[in-house]
Amino acid sequence: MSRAPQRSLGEILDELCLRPPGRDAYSNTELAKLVRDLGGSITPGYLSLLRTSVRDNPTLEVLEYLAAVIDVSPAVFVGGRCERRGDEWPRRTFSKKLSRLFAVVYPAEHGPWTPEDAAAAITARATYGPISPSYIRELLAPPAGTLPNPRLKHVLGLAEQFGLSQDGSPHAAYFLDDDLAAVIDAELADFVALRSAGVVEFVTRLAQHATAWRPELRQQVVQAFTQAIDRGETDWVFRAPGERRRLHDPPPGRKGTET
Amino acid sequence: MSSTDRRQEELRDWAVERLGVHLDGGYQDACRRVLALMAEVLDAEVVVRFIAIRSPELTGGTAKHVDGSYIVYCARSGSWYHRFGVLLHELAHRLLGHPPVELTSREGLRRFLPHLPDTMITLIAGRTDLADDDERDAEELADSILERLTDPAPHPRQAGLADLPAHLQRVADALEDYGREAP
Repeated sequence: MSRAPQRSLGEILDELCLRPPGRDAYSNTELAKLVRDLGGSITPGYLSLLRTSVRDNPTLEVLEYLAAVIDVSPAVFVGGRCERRGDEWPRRTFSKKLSRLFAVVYPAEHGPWTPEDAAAAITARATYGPISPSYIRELLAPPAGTLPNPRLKHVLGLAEQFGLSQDGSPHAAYFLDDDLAAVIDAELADFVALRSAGVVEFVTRLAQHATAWRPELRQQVVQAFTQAIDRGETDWVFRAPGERRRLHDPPPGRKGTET
Repeated sequence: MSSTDRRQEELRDWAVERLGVHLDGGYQDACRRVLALMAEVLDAEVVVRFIAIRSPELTGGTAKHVDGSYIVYCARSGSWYHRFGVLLHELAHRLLGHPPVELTSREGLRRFLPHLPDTMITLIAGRTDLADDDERDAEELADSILERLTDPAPHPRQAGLADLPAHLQRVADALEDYGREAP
């Protein structure tokens, strides 16, 4: 089933300005003033260019302030959640999220990507324009006392690199939605725990219902296996019979194997 | 009798014979026999760890390690009979050939990590085919083996069949022994 095409930033912002939650429409002048009152910086002219999609690559800081004034989640600008839940300033968690993705999400046969790998891949795809390795390093570790402030296309390019960007899906909002990020991070943490413990496959009761597992149950499964594997003492060890063994009497329906 | 039932019976009889469990050795010894058979079936080293498990839903599990060995965890129950049942269930999964949740294939990871986007899953990869029927079959086979090993009553197939061929009569006698020797 094909997904609905994602709306552009301009379409989303224009819709929010015309029909903001709980009040009358914003003019560009009023919205710019409210952003400035909150501490941000934006002109009515730039807002007009964004709403008409003449410009489409604002900084994350601009999106933060617009979301705060309109009282929506910043994630809404990339197709994510609209409802604002308390303070949402995603620049504060951006570097931590990006670091986690670099540490955890990579092809098994390749190993973790370096900023050079990611920059080369994002630039080569050209979906969201180029990005440099040094800029990715700065996003991972911004200068002391500053917050990263990537432009939207950099955010989307990084999301695509780590498999978070799908047409019509809200996953690109990972960087702008801490609640969504927490859900994804919890599952990634469980995956990493099993991968780090050396588990390549498992069977357990209720496994057929794994999709519906509560996060707590999934964590308990992971803990059970990692506890069993990590424990220093070995309780019982059973080895397959020696080299001369032949399963001359294998389970019905299976061929015997010689080892 | 359906082909599934017939297969379960064949597997049960095969397992009972290969286990050779004499319960006068107690259920702890029976647990060892189950795991030794599991190592034989898997043709790999099997390490067993009895651990504290809070959830009654997760009393046992088997994981394949990247080094090729298997780790079976079993709830550290005070009852060896309970542990025996848990371990039989793990053996039953293997005898029935239930496919495991594979952390190296897309389908497995998609089920285990349902909120990750497909493109991310593709990056880290996963597969599983465990179905409801698999779980039920494993439970039924485990129960069936346990019942055959512990039920003191003559099995209907054995009763009144004095003219059985000698090799079948030996099986019938052996199964009656299991019942008599159950602690």
